Order: sequence, then C-alpha cells, then structure tokens
Amino acid sequence: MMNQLTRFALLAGFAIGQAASSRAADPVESDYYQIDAIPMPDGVVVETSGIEMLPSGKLAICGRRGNVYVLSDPFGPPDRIQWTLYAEGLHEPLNLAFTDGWLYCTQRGELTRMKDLDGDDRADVFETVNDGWGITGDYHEYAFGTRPDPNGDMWIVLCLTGSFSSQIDYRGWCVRVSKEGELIPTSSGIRSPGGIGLNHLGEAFFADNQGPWNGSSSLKPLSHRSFQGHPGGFRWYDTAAAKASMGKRPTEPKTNSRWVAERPKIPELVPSAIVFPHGILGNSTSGFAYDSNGKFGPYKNQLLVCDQTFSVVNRAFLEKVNGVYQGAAFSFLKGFGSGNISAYMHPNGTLFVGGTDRGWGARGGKRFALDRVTWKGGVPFEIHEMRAKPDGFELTFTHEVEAVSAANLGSYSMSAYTYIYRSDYGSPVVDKMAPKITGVEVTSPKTVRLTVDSLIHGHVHELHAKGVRSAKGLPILHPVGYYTLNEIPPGELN
Amino acid sequence: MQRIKRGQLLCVIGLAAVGLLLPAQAADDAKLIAQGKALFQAKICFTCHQVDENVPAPAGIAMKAPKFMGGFWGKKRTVTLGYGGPEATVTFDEAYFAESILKPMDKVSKEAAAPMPPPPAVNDEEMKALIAYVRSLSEGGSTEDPAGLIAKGKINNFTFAAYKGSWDKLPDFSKLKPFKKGNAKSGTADPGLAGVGENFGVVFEGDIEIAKKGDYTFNLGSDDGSRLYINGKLVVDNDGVHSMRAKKGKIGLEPGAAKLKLEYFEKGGEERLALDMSGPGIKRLQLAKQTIKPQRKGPAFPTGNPIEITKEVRIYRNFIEGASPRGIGVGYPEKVNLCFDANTMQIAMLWHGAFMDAARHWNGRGQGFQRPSGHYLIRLTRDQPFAQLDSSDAVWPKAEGRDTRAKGLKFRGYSLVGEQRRPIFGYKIGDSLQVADYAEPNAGALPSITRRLRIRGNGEVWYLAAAGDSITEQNGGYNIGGTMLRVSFPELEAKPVVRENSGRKELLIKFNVDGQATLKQQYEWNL
Repeated sequence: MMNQLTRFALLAGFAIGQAASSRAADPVESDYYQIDAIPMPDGVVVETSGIEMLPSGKLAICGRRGNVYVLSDPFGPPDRIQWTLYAEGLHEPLNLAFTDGWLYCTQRGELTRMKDLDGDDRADVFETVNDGWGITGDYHEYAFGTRPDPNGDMWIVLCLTGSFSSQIDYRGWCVRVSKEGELIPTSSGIRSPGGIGLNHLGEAFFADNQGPWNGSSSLKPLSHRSFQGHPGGFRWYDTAAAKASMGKRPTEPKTNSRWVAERPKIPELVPSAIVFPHGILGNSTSGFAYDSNGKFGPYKNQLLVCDQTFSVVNRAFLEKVNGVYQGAAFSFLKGFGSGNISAYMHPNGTLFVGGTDRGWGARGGKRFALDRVTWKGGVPFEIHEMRAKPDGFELTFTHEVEAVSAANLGSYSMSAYTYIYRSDYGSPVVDKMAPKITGVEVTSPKTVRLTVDSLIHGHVHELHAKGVRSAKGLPILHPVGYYTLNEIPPGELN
Repeated sequence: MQRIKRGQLLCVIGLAAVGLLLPAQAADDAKLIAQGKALFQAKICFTCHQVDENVPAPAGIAMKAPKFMGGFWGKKRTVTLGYGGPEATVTFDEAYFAESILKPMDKVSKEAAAPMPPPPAVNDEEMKALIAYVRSLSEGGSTEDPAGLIAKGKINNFTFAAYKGSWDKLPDFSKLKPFKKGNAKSGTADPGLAGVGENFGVVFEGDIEIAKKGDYTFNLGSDDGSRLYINGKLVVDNDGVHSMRAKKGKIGLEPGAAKLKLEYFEKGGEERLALDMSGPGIKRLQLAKQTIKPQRKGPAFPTGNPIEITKEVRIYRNFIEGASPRGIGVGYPEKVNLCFDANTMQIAMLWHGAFMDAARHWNGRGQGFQRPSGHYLIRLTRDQPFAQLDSSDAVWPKAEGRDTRAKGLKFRGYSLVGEQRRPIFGYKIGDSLQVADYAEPNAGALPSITRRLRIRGNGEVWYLAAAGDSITEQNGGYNIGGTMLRVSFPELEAKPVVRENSGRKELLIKFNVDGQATLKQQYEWNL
C-alpha cells in the first residue's frame, strides 16, 4: 500500500516537476531500492556477520553467536524462507566464503572450512585450515576474512588486542592463507577492522575504524608489505615468517602529524582510499559488496560499504591516481534493521545486508537483522563518479544534466578538511579550508568539469552540488560527495 | 532427562544415617555454621542452590533448583514422591533437609526441573554443619549479612569505658577519666554504647574463646581510628582520622580465653567500628557492631543464555574459564560435559549437569572467560597430551601461560558423528602421526567419559594420561590427588608408568606406533 502511494506521489511529482519544481515530488531512496527485512524464526538469533551463497541456491549466514543458518529460497517471500541450523558453536565467525566445495569461515582463532557430507544442510566436518595467529581472550581480537583472491589466497585482518596493542602474534596485521593452508604475513598497521573484501579486480580492501592513528573510519587498500597506519603490531616484524615475507620494519610514524606529512618518510604507509567522515557518513565502517554486472542499478563495480552505527550503506567510487587508490564516498541507502556488518551481492542483483548492534549500538533499532535489498529498476539522479583532476574534479551523473543549473557556479560549494594522524583516539576535524570553485563546464550531457582554485593534498574535499538538476528537473538524490585526495593528478599538457 | 535409580544412588552415597535429627540449638553455633558454609562449597551445593541474590548459581538456573533465600526454613513446600510421582506437602526442617541430601530422589521439589544429582557423601558431622548453615540462611534465623559475614561472635566478660575529647590520634586512655562505664550482654563492640555522636573514645575489653591452637587473623575497620590488643600485644593499628578503613593483623593463640582490648575514637562525621576474626575452624566471626564489606572479585557471574542440551551434542567454542582462548566446550545429552583445548589438544575440564551459559559472550561486547555451568568440575592437566620425549625422564612440555600452544602438535578440526553428533577431534603429532580423539559419554547417575584415542602413522610418542599431586593406584585405576578424578585403561595390557617429574606425579603411556595404535581411557568421578 505504502509503495503504491509513494509511486503515485512520485509520478505526480514528475508531472508537476516538469512545470515547476515541487519539494513534495523530490524522489527518495525507496523509489529506487526496496529493503525487505527477512524475519528470523522464533528463537533464532543470528547477529549476522557473514553472508554467502551456496551452490544449492540456498543462502548461508553466520552470526556473532557462532551459528550458521542455511536459508532456502532466499529470493522468495521473506516470511516463507526456511531456516536450517547448519552449524553452531563457532567462535564469533565474521565471514563466510564458499569455494572448492567447502564453506570457509574465519573464526576468532582460525580459518575453518566446513562441509555437509550427507546432504541434510548440517555441517559434519570442521577442518582447521590455518590457526597460525594468536588470541589472548580479549574480546577485541576479531578476525575478518575474504573469499579467495585470484591467486587463491584468503586475506584475513586481525584486530589489535583491546584495539590498542598487539599482545600476541599478528594482532594488528593482515595475513593471507594460501590455497595450501600456509599463513603469509602480509600487511601491518591494522587497528580495528569492521570488514574486509575484494573488489572486482580481486584486490583486498578493509574497513578500519576510528581510533588511535585513525582520525575517522575509512576504507583502506591492502597490498603485500603495506603498512596501514597503526604501529601497534610492529613487534611481529621480528618473526621468521614476517622477516621472510615482509622485510624490515617500517619507520614509526610521528604522532600528532598528518598522513601527507608521514607518507614521504614511510614508503610502506598506504593512505586510506576513502575516508567516511566520522559522524557524517557513519561512525563505524564495516563490510562491503559490489554489483559486478549492473543488475543492481548504475553503480557497477562501485563499493557499497556498510556502516554499523548508522545502519546505512554508503557508496564508494574509487580511482587510482599516481598508483594510489582514492575516491569519493556518497550516501546510498538508509533504513536497515540493525548495525550493518556484512554485505553480499548476488549476481542477480540482490543485495543482502546483515548485522547487530551488540556492544556498540546502532540506529536501526533491532538487536540483530538480515535485510534484502532489490533494485526497483529506476535510476536515481546521482553523482555517479567524482574524479580528481589536476585543477579540480570531474563529475559524471547517472542522467543527463539540465545545462543551466549544472553550469551555474552557485549550484556547487566545496570545503576541505583532514584529521590528525596520532596515537590518541580519533581526531577532531582539522585544517579546514574553503577551496573555491572557480569554473564549471558541462563537457558532455552527463559530465561536468569543476575547476577549483586550490586542491589540498591529503584532505577530504566535501562537494555540495545541491543546485544541479537533471534534464528532467530532478535534484540529486544524494548531492554531497566526500573525496579523499591522497594524490593530485599530474597536470595535463594542454 | 536423566533419571537416577535408587540403587545406583545408594551405591554412591553409602548407607549413611537416615532420618537424622539434631537439637535445634546446635544451629546457633557459629562454628558449625562456618563449617557448614565451607561444606556448602566443598559438596558443591553452591553450584545449584543460590544463597545470595548477587551471586547467581548458574547450574541451578537450568535445573530450577530451590534457592536458599528469603524465609524457607520451617515453611511448607510441595514435592513429588519420586521424580514425576504424586505430589505431597512437606515441612522444610532438619529431617526433610537431611533426607533430601541422602535420598534426593524420594522427595523432589516440585519447582525443580530435575532431581538433585547425588552430592558427595555427607557424614553425620557434616550434615549437622550443613543444616546449621542452610538454616541460618533463612530469614528470621539468619546470621548472614550482606557483607558476607557468616556468624556473630561474642566478646565474653565484656566491658566498655567511654571518654570525651577531640583527638586526631588515639589518646592514652589510661590517663583519662571515662564519663561512662558499663557492660553489655551482647558482647559486641558498639561505639553507640557511648551515647554520643562525636568527639569521644571508647575502650572495649573482654575475652574471646579460643578452641584450637593456631594463627588467628583480626580484621579491624573503623571511622575514625582504632587499635586492637590481644593478650596485651598490639595486633592491628588502624589509628588516625579517616573514613571507614580496614586493616588486618595476625597472632598465634593457645586454646582457652584470650584477652581482648579494643580502643576506638571518633572525631566527627560517621562513627563506625567493625571487627571480625578468622582462624582454625572459624571464619569471619563478627565481634563489633559493623561489618567490613568483602571486595568482590570481578563482576557477578553472568547468566541468562544457558545452552540447553536435548538430543544432540552442543558445541561452544569461546573463551571458557579454565582453558586457553581456544576452548571448545562439548555438552553431551548424558549430562556430562568437557572442554577440549585446541591450543594444547588436551581435555582441559570435565563436569556434570548444566553445560555452559553464553550470557557473558552474547551480551554487550562479550568480554571475558565464562566458567562452565554445572557441577563436579574436574580440572585436568593443562599440558599437552602427547609429546616426543628424548628419554623417559625428560620433562613434559608445560602449558605455562593461558595462551601456550602445544609443542609439535597441530589442531586439524573435528567431525561430528552419529545420531548425537559427537565430535571426534583431530590433530597431528609432528609430521608422522595423526590422532583421532573421541570422547564417549557413559550415562548414569554419575556419568563418566571414555576417551578413545587412535594414533595413525609411524613413530614413538608418549601420552600424558593424567598429572597431579599424587597418583594412587586402586582397584585397577588411578586416583588423581587433589581432584575428583579417577582414570583407568580398560584395554591396556602394559601398565602405565607413574613417574615423579618436576614436582608432580605423572601417569604416562608410551606408544610405538606402527600403522595404528589405540587407547581407551576412562574418566570417572571419584566422590
């Protein structure tokens, strides 16, 4: 009923919008995406922390209480889905990945693979693939893992002890577990991950949360031998495995500094690709998924990144400049049931998102939840891509723009800021600047080129494009972009 | 639901006296209450029967065991005659209490979800003490107070002298003239006897009765200053102006009467005086008006998410108190549970009854180690079960910290087998040997565990079957000193080796594995 009303209002709005812009007609997220809560059967509690499709067409989900359920007909009516307990008693598993006939799962203390031998949807074998990292009993020592990368390796990020220090091997590190089950120390500098995953190229990214050496939560690219910012786990450079894999320990960063100031001194230091400004886009970045074939709308291969506290999914456009990942974050979808931790995108364009508010709280209101998102088919008017240029930004929209508003300098405004890079917890917003947009040019029906008087190396550039209208007169659904400018593209010859 | 046959029960308990009645006045005896309180712990009553609203009895929650709180002594209660049998009304008195311990299946509290498992044998003396303690918990006759004191004591030949004055330290009372003198039958050192609120001092004197020779500890708390002399010797000096502050002192005493002198002064503000004594056979006997609140060790035991077991085994991998962070709890429908430690490959603990309560881990951020629910908890050696020793007297590799991982062993996971989905744990010893480690529960009034080990491969390896303060061979099995554990090896031809090594006794078995070797080890409760 509500949907029909909304649709009606929307259609009416289109009609009116042609003549005169009307606030009531402005589209909303639910015009384009539908969130269905999948109710859990009585007595079933899954504090959803991992989601994966099984070859049988059933959906597997795991939760922080250590259980794994298999859901039949996961695309059917939510209240008719059948839930079967596949496994229980796992130690706070935070991901699931199906490969080579096994369901893999990262528990606190090990990478495990499970198999149902007799076809009753209940796991009978639990094999320890690798348990080469330590746990002390500290609740913060979480472990998040990925599906296998193109090389067959699974990437696992290990939260620090108490999220501050590293009391046992490889806390605060990323390790890979190879196909053969070998552990490879891969990156240092991890603080408190909220999720990890691979992009469409099979590259690993993880979400680190605001805290020491992290002024705001962010998405960080992982690579072999990288240092991700928190030096708390440097002692493990002295292990034989790390010596072989990582080489020498990096220079320690100086506290009360800036990322841009430390990067030249510490070649291994990799900056956050996308900062999700704390308190604005979220408070606790977590898992992500992406649509690989356009069945979920116009955002093919962009990362849809969860936030646990805000119970939202944000959207991240990434590009590489001077070999460094960076890009823009936008709001995408709100209205999830609980604190989102895990996201899974099915090739048919269905997004599953689940989570819990336990321990840290979330706006969604439910203690735990599993939600299903489907695209309704319409394309919202959005900034599809925001690319850095030597002297500004290039915006590509999802629809053709209305030339007058798009070419109007007054349709845009920009601010820039950053965070202190320090050993203390979090950071206020600092070094606030107001880059001036000095030029705007509509370079193609969907593209606008902004010229900015001064780009600030390392700053988040917050762009408001509230005045821009689509050719059909629609405002931008989420008109604010947050671009993390790690690198300014080199100047073009002309 | 586990049903206990009467025959089995009697075997366990022995034919102890039945229908024992005690003189009511015995229940007032503070020493008996103290003994009873200790027995309440030793006989593991406390795991099910809650006596303090701040300290839940985790196993009792699942079992719905009667709580010994509020007014219950002398009250009527409904029981069933035999578990699930016809209802009857009984009075909660000494006879009923004793009968309940000796024959728990005969009259089962109607509210309970299961009959009480047989506790360790209780003799007549112990029964008296338990009755005295439990009776003291009932409102009306209670000598327990929230501070955890167990009994009120008395200063004999008690006199006091009160002085007026404003001091910052205890004065020399011998040079002052009291404004009030008197005695009190209560024998309790109470500053209120002075009848004034501030700027006063009191000297209390009398005797305390010492039954056994030994060291006695006096715990003296006051606001403001105080000082305690026993037989003329200064035992605790808690002088000065301060808020409630406790200090302890110790003195060796002979049987008979010991002279007590307690000096106290109050300048301004609150006036408080607390004194208790502990020693052979007595624990925190209260001698003054107030009590000293014991310091709580950590937060109360969290409950509310019991993992209940019906037909199948349940697994709980988490931080389990008594094991490393890689503990794997296994609860069997036979009402026996174990914790396998995937750091050491050892069975770290065995216990009966309720399995685990996940409340600590499923609420809030889930920090900390949760202790097993249930009762008859046996902590086994934490050291790894297998090792390749250079010689028969080589030191066994020790689990030194909580995080210690077994040397040369590698955890491989587990399979769930059979209708009950019991786990078989797998691990490797070096590169040449593989172990399948399968625990099989044996149902009964006192369920036990049979551990079946199968080692495949080739090579020599030692197995540590048990370790403890002492290992006593008895009737073909071995009692492990300091625990309730008895182990035996039903199919083993050669005798295991009992050796003394690094200050403990070890029970070892050597394997020369050529293809395959097996071992069956029985773990029984020796109660």
